[in-house]
Amino acid sequence: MHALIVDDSRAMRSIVRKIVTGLGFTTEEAGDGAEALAAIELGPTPDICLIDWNMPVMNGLELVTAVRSRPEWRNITLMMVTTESEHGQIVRALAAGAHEYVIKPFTPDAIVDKLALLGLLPEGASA
Amino acid sequence: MIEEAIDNPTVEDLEAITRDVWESLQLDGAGEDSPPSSSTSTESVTASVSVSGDWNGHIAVQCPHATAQDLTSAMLGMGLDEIATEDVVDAVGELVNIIGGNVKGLLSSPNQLSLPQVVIGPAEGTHWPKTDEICHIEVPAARGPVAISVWSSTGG
Repeated sequence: MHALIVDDSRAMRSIVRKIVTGLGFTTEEAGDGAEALAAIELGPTPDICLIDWNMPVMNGLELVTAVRSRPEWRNITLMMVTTESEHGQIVRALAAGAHEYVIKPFTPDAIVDKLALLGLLPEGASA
Repeated sequence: MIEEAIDNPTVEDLEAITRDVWESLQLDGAGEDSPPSSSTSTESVTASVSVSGDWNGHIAVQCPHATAQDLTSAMLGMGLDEIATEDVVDAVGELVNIIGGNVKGLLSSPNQLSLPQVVIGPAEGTHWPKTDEICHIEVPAARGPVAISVWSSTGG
């Protein structure tokens, strides 16, 4: 399993990376939506993108919309990992094509539980 | 966590949010093994985000530079000697982003959250023109407390 972590904060990317690599994921990182799109184009295609909302250059919602506009990327799971907790914002992200939504601050278990719900826990990892 | 929107956050709201953030980022005990900071050091780190929309105001985190280094070390899992200034800016900026985002989540929608602004410099009180400080808490830390405040625009 390969995860692309998209967040403008290096600290937050580090925290998420430790959680998912502990589960057996390989990871790649991007500091904004545009960098993420470039990384997906370059490959390998991630199984999941963990996406912050508020980022410079291209925000998380724009990234979700861009990924969902590409049929060849329809198998990429998109999970928002963000401080945006307003109900309307969650609805917007899900309507744009995000599969799951985790609100910061989160515990490692919150990420693991969502990955389990999505059927994306690598073999041997447990929720 | 989706709760009924409120007009203004309270100290209790800010304390609950901060407690969640400290627990999830494992910041309790940050800096306990750090060397004492110089008594002459007056440099502080101030990070803020702005909320605009139905509610307008700012959320700020301010602490001594040594405490900011300790928080950064805890968040990144790195030693103090490995931390660069850009790491401190990034980590404290993310801290205020998370706290500010959760404060925004309590308020009446819709609102926009800005990207964090982080300033490192001489310790001065945090203030914005045409605003009132409506919440202020201090989180004890080994090398000086972390002040967290919410400022509401008075309009005009």
